[in-house]
Amino acid sequence: MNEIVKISLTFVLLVLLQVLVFNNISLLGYISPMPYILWVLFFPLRRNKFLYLLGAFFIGLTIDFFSNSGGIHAMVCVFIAYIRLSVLKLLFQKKDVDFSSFSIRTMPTIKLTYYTIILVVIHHFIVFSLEFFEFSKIGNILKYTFTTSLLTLFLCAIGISLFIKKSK
Amino acid sequence: MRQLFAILYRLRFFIVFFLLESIAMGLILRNYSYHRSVFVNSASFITGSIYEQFSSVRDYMYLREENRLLNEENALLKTQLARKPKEDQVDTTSQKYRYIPARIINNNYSKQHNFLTLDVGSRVGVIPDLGVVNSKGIIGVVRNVSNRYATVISILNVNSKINVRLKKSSHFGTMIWDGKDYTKTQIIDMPRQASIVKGDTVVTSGKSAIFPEGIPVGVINEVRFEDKQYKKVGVTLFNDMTSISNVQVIYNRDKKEQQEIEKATDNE
Repeated sequence: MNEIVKISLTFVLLVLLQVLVFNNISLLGYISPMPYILWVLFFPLRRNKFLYLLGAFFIGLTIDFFSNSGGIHAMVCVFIAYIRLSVLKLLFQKKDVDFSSFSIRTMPTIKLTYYTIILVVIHHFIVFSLEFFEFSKIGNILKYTFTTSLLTLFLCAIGISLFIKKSK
Repeated sequence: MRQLFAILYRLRFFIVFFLLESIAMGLILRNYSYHRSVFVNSASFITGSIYEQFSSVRDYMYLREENRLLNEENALLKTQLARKPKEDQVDTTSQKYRYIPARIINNNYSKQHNFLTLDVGSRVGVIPDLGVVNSKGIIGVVRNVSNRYATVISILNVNSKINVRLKKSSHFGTMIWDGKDYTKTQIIDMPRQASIVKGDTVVTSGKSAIFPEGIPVGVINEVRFEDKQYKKVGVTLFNDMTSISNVQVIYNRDKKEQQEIEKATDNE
């Protein structure tokens, strides 16, 4: 129960931070970081995966409501939630992930970094692909993905080291 | 049959995933069809009131600049009023346009599809497809309206299309935004007879029922004339879209009539 309350509170907090602070940042005129994705990345692994998928959908949809982006964030969050386990299995031996004491919070820093980078870049790439919605603008999409990912990852690193990472 | 259920059961996670993605894709496509009100928008009560609360803090910081703008506009209006003869006093009952004052409570300019949120809604008579301006020029067109809030398609939205003309020669064109620079827009469909030079002023054409004629838009900053037609016409906006706060929504009393007539003509 305690954990559910905590998850819900982080949901609200990250959404508010995203729409009131980070959406208003536009470094160099176009870079607005999206650190709300931390919620999808660090949702506890052991929880019901259907609940997780729905949660990802709703945090995305909430962001969409605020930023008038239709369903872009809902779509990308569901996708990230869907592939998360596969990425973890890719980084670790399959056995480790299935092991009951495995937790994202206690995984080695280097793997945690890879995990965050992979998912943030995929997230940003899909967001910008859907926003530009035109294949001919692939150059712009890549540019936006790269620069925005850098800023998001920087903010994520701060968030992770302050609130998420626990040493074993 | 049992086997089918077994397969579906095994695929249940993928099915839920697919369902959610389909819903999201539907919402996205709906959002991209321009003239359509959408369900997911920031004019709703919750998003609107959160933006309203927090924008008051930001507005406080820009108070000095806002006051200066208002003062400038006041001075301009007084000058115009002084020039008019007395018997020509403004009679608001017979006016075609009514201006509804509004405050921007959320502003975007760094995306491809930028929207603004206003603190006025259907309660004070705002309806979709009304023009939004401030003292310097045009801002956008109202899209979704709730009881207390409204969303506006910014002129900095790649789907935005505004009818404009040159101030000096009244040649028409369509103003769009290429999504690159938030200080510049582009004009397409300029007739080749029009002589455009850098520094020409662009105003709204008044051809659609959205904006009255002659509202300032910007200044031509780039002209490329190739193969006997205008390849590219760039406009520098008068408005700094990154710091706008007080605006007016233009309610056109004849809008319904004009649209009905246009519709009837289109059907013939």
